[in-house]
Amino acid sequence: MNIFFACLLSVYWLLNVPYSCALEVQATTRVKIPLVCVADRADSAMNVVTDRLQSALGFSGQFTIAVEDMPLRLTKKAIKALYVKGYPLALVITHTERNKIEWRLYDTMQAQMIVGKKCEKGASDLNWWALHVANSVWPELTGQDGFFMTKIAYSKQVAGNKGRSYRHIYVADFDGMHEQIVVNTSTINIMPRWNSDHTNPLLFYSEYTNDNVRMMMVDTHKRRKIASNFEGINMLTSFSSDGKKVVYCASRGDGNCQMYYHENGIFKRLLYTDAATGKSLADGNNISPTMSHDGDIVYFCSDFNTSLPQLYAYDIHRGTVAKITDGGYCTSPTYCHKTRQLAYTKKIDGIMQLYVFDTKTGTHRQLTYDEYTKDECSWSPCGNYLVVSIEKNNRSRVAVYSILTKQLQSITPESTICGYPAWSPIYSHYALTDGVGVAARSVLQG
Amino acid sequence: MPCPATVVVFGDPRSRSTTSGSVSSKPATGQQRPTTSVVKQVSQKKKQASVKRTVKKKDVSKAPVVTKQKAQVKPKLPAKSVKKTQPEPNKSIEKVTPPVPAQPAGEAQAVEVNENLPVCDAVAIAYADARLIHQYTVLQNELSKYWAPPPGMADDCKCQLTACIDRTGMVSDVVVQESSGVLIFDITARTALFAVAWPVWSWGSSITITFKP
Repeated sequence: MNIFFACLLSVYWLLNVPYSCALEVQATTRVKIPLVCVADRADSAMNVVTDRLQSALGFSGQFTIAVEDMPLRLTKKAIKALYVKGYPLALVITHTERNKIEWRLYDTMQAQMIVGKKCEKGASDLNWWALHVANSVWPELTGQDGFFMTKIAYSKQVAGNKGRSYRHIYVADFDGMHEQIVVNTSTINIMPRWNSDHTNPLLFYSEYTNDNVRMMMVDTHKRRKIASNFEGINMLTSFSSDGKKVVYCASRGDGNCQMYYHENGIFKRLLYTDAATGKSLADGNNISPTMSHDGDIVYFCSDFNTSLPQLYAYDIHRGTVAKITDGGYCTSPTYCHKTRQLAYTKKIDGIMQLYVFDTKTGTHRQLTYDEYTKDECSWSPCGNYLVVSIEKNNRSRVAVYSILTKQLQSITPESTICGYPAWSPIYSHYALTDGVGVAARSVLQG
Repeated sequence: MPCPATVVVFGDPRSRSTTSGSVSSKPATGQQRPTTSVVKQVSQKKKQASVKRTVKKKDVSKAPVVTKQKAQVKPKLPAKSVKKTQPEPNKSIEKVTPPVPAQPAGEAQAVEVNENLPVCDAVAIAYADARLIHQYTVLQNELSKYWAPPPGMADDCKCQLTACIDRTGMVSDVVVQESSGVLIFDITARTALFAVAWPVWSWGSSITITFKP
């Protein structure tokens, strides 16, 4: 009898106790996430906002964005219907008041709101509004900092009078949209660089004059000032994260470019002599200085010790120089304050390719393998993108390389000649307005 | 993670004989399985005279192979147990294999052992494990068809979800055990759980899956 009950119990246990196990699955493919923006398409302003949002979020290469018209009543049933259509996530945008916009992110399978925010219109244009929404929803979706409010500055060749050509400085959104001119003098203006003051955006650039190549700076009101006016070349500033330390290069009529460091009113030239070879920095050209996040290290490109340019790290406190690259033709280092990686270009089979050097592990990694020659590059503040000047058949364009998707996409048209791109840090606000007057004053020269 | 290669070996009917063969563990050439008489002799000797511990240890270490039943005896134990159970010799002591002079390799000692072998528990367990591993692998492959995270996810990004499958094979509930911290990653993992056709063996169970990019 007991055995019978024992058997009965065992059978009952086997039937009713849920079986559980654990597995691990590794992905073999990558697929873009479908995301639907739901907005009132009858509202013309919302149309503009959703269209811009669609292109902005789609730029990352991680989403496919669709736009759906807002139903009369946004019920749970309506949201679940979006899941059936194949959208696991829905971004509902509503124009609540004249200057207010509200977005809510829904998990369509459960018809539950994940997060929602209201934002006030801070600028007059709808583009700003769309990018603001994209920037605030991005961290919720991906867990990473938004980069949609950042800008890219670059130099564009324009035709002048009597067959002359000039180069103007332009600023555009992260994806090349909404291009705005910042410097349009009848001169050659190249190599723009951003400062690190988050509340006071400034753009430094080099301008060819009859006497020298001087360094200028321009604010958001397009007011220009001379930053450095030494004889010869003055170019390529780089700031520490706090904006208190700056380094740039100047030749000062010497022929060779040297690096100059500025901190707390102290202005000095960076000096070093290699004990092994007896060669000093003065024996070569030292260009493209880029400062580490704390401003203690200056990475730069130099040919003082080798025939081909190599990358070096200058320790500001010790005054020592360490070689980073070994062999090849390496140029244009640019430091990422967030990931602490150094991007640079290296010649491989006659084509300059993008490389990354991890300052923490000391490892080098090749990023690109295509047929475009890369020149100047600059990191996005999030550290996931690199803006780079690409060249083929003597025509240069500006392109963005995604570290995440490993895709290179051009952001300036093929018909124009653009180069020297620089990605801005995250400014609290950046809106260009036409200023009046030009104040010529030396800032760094003292 | 279960190794697919293991599954192939166990799942293959040809390899089953290999498995059982390995469990029956035929003695190596030159080494002989002890006969019952030899064991008795040893026990008698133990009764008659005190056996030196060192000798015992040496004997045990030299023991070539034991059968499944004998495998229960830990080879290093006898030395201690001898001391304790000298008045009444323990069964375990009897099973200890003493050194046996080498016999011609041609003699079918192993045959005798195989005849005595019952359906080996170890083999049964191995079969059960193999079947389980095979099932897991099939499910793993099925899941990997639907698991497609968005591009650009960090290598260390992972999430752990538990899918409760009802008796009709439908996912009744998904519990996030460990979030990746990236919404789109977790959502995609969940989508994979709902997309997969769950095998019959998993119906009425809960399965925890770690998704990696």
